[in-house]
Amino acid sequence: MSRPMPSDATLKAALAASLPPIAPPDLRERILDQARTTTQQHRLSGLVAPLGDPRVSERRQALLLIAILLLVAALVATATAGALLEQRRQRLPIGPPGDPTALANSVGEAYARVPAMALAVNWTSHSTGIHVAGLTHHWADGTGRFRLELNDRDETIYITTGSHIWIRYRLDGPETWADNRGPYADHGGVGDLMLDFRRECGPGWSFGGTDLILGRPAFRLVCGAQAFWIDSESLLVLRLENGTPDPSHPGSLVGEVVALHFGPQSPDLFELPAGAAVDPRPPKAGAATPSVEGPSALP
Amino acid sequence: VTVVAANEAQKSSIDAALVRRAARGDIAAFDALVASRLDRCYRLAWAILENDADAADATQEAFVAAWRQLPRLRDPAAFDGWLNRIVANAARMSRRHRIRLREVRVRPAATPVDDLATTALAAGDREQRELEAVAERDAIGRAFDRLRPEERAILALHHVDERPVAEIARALGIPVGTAKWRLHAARRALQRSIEAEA
Repeated sequence: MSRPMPSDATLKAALAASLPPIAPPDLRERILDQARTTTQQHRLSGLVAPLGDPRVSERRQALLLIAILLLVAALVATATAGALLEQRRQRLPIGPPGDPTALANSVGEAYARVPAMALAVNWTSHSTGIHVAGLTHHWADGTGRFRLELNDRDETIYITTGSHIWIRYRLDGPETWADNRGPYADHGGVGDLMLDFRRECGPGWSFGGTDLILGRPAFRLVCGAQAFWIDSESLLVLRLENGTPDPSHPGSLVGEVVALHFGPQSPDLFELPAGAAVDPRPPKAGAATPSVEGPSALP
Repeated sequence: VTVVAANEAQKSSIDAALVRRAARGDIAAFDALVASRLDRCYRLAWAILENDADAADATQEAFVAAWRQLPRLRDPAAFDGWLNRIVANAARMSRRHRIRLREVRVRPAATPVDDLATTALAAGDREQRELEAVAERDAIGRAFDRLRPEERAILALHHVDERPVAEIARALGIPVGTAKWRLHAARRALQRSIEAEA
């Protein structure tokens, strides 16, 4: 037979008798002594505030919430990165961009209508123990005028305007501007801008894949020992690799666009400077219109 | 009733002011809070730990933690529940540590009920009732000792310190409904334990 539950009063008396009635006499002083030497922690703000809560469950909840938020942020970041990569991947062709020869023709046509832009090309040449590196700067105003600066010994400058190909050179003494004369005569207006690219290819063009140059998708067109990376949007040449097929004369040339900016350029870049000394001799016979695919002088 | 309610409201207001002052670093205000709650908190810790030294250490640790964290307490009116919870957690942590150390508490043998009953035969009716009451309290005390720490804590908070169920719920970090159910279960466990003692 079960006994009846004791009354609340009996329970209180019995339980109180089972528990110590008062704390040890020195406990209060111990607490205060330690409190006096303990620095209070002030409230955290925002989402991390519950982390300072002395209650374990509150801290756990806060940690869980923060972990969930971090997880969500990570998922969003991953999804965003994935979307960007997918977007980039979709910009890259899965296979060859049609006929490589047709692409080569399109590149040549693209240089006939170069937009206003500025770019820099880094050149590296290796040849039988000789290593040459240099930088060329190019400008186009979008109307068929170009400027090219070589960082060669003479700081040669080309300004191509309409039927003139102005060349500033100092090989024979003072700074002189000549119209299609001197050692750099017959230099094409956009020759260097094309990074030695020519439409014709004896062995025939082939497609070598797609790479990123300056973060831009570029089709790799291969012609024998030469390879050109063609910007998929502007069809400008962004990189050249020119190997020497003759093993007895090993060497290579690499030119790569290292800076590219589309947009209006200063008109002064495409004019002779005021007071420029001009070579009075007439231009070289036959040289008038800059050739889109004229011979290119390497830096 | 009105006077009692007014006194309670005044006490709550004073306590809230003490909590706010203590939260700003006023050690005297904190001392006042400690003084009025020390015994109760010590009993709560003792109910879980059943050991004077451990209960004192846990109580001290809890009060110091409360002092450190007081600036972060948003609602001064929630101070008691918050403090009880810190005490209960400190005692639980101490108990876990003690279990790892495999310390075993040995309660002194109680006076056998039969002996008390035999003695009662020789006494008068009044003395006999007193002796029966003592015997019953002793049985309840030993039954109480046999309960689990959580059961002892909830019974001590409710029956000894007469804390409201809502505050017990906050102290133990559980919903009010769960606190009510646990209190009921603890009383049932105590009753079974008393029957076993009998």
